[in-house]
Amino acid sequence: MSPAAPHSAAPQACAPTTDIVLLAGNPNTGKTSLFNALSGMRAKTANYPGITVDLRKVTMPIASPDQSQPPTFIDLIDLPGLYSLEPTSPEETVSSEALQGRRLGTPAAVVLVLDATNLSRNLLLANEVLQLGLPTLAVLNMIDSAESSGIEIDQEKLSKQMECPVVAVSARTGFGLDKFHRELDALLAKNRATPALPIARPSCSVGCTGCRYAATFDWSESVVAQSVSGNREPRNENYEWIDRILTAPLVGTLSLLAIMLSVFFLIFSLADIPMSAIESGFGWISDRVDGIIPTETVHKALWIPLITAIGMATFAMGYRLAEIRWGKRAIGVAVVTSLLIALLPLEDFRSLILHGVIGGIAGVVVFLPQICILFFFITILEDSGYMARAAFVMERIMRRVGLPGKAFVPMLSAHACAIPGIMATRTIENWRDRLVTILVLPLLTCSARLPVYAMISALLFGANPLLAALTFAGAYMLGLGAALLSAWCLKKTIIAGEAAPLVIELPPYRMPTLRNAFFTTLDRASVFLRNAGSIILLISVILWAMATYPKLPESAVAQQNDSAELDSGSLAQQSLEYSIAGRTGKALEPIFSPLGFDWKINVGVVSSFAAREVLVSTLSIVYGMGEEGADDEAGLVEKLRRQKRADGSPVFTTAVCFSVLVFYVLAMQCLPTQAITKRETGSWKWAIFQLVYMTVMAYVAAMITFQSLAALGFNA
Amino acid sequence: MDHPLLDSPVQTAPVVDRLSTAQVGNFVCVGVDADGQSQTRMKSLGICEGRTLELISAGDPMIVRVSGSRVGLSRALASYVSVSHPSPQLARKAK
Repeated sequence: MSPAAPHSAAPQACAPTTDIVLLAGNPNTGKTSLFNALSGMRAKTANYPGITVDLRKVTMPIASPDQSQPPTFIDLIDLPGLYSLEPTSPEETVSSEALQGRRLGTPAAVVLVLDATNLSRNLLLANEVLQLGLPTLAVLNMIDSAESSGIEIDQEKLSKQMECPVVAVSARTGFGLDKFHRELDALLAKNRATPALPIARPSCSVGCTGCRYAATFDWSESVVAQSVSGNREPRNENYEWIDRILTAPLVGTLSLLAIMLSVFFLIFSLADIPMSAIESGFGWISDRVDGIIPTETVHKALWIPLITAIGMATFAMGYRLAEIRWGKRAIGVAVVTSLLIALLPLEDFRSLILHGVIGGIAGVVVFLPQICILFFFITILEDSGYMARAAFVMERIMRRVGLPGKAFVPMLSAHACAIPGIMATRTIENWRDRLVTILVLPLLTCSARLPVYAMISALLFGANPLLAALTFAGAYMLGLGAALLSAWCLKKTIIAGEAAPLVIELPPYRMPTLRNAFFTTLDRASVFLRNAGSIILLISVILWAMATYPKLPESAVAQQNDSAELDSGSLAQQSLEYSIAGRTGKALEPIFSPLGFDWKINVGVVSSFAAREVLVSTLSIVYGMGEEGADDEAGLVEKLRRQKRADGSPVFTTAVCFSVLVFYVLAMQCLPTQAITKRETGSWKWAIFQLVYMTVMAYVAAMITFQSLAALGFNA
Repeated sequence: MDHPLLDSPVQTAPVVDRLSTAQVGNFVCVGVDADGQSQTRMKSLGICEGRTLELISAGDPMIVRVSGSRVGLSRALASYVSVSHPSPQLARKAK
């Protein structure tokens, strides 16, 4: 990165065509709620070159001052929250550099979100942002809470002292948003007429001695003293009482457990109906598609162009979802694959569509309701201010095993996905702490494991939501416990040392809004579906091919058809065994049989090496293809429950289910995470170490689980 | 890390203490000498020279109220923060 001065107006290589307006502010100021209130459903997750942090943006019309001209458009970008332009995390670095014009080009304006209930702290960042000399609009968010707790803000005085327009809003109720739009229009119009020169504002970055922060805090206190009256620092006794309980060593930890358990219980009891709806929906689609595909061979001149076109359209959709550019190689892959599919014999084509495409996607998409519910409640907890307390409580435990309290935030992100979690470890400045955190993060339950957990808990306790929730919570606890234990072992062995200490803001408790939780959930769901529509679809099709080819030789089929006592199910079974996937699974039998896995589960373990959730679609494909002619309407769990071994006993016994569960809690099984570990630690050494220690631990733990449960008689 | 004022016999002078060993009450922050990002994060959250701090709950980690917000702070970091009692009267009460 070039150390260019913030205002060198040098044209940026990636200068956006529309002007950008940055939305900046402290964490916990309701900045994202304001963004959601302004954008509604139109927000997009934007990809900017060189930025790994997800930024959301919305294109907004800006009216011209005299209404005579058509509106122009700007991109409003929601920057990650930051406390000061001196960053302490990768997210803060992106925000800070964007504000200084180094990342996204020089912004046309900055919208500075301030928490009206806590101006004096918020004005620290305001001071730094104002010194950048950009056209700035200060937004006093949560003005309704400020007023109800007796804080009176004189907006005119504040505006005069900050030398920028000020508008009071409540993102929660929508109060003041009209005025916000008018002020932003006016600010941009004024700037367009006479581009603003940096205004010389009282600055302490040069010339003052002593602590820069102390000087800025003095400035903000004087601003608050002049423009804020009434109850300047309101205290809510009720909240202090709640806080005392939730941060207490024992009661606080128990509350954390209780809250997490209730969330999981809700996931199960609420997701049941939409999940069966999705399953029967896919069953219906599968029937319709089965009806559409012709049974007689259509004339080749018609069939091949038609199927190639459909194939290309599917690739176009997949590339769009996965944001792959149409390069030479991507076009080549799409054309060749589409042609190959068009040339398939009709029976194979039918199997590809029904088992490979629809079966594979259905097996993953069915878990969408659970993922939505999980993120919905996590956002609610986050917005309520509880998550910071959870980090506070966890600090006591984590410090003992040599993890920093700060690792809780990456650990929290890792419950969505290990990749953002590992990237967030950059907040941990101490190299030792960061390395330990990166190495243990993939043990935490990421959303890719949810489909596997959900499948196993449904297999074990389908009829009992409480037991299913306990299984789920148990899997989470096992992951967490394994992460803490591994951290402790690392601390005692190869990466010795103590963790860096905690400093975290405990924001005031606030009533979370359903609206905000809804938009966050929507965002997560679209990321999940994007994956299901691209990468998982691709893996499903490859897997289908591996499970179909090579085909049984004609002689074997003829022999089968001759022997009357063998049904068609057994023929399908034999073709599967003959295929590449079947042979791989069989070859691995000696390795995985102590864990109770049969060769079909082995196929799942191998295919999910790159991504865990693929296990579910794999089992759906492998077992679906193994029982041709059976009732296709039945969901995956029913299908699995019906599976019998050669001796007639069920495949998925309690012991096998727990063994699979333990294996998937602990095993690495995620190629993208490995790539990120390599990038963040700078060498493949740690990525390989991570893969080896996690796989060995998963294997040993699953073997112990299976063998002891089998000894207790749970393997029947 | 002895501070000359720690053993000051003069009762009227502000008593300087480490936040890590302080008891619940009000203080004025006199100095912060942690290093690196911990220092930046503490200062940007308001744990900075000249600010009034209120120790809400002692322990490890502890809760400090500063500039209208609450901050969770580990005792290890608190030991880098020197505080003084705002008035001798309060100081005596805290002892």
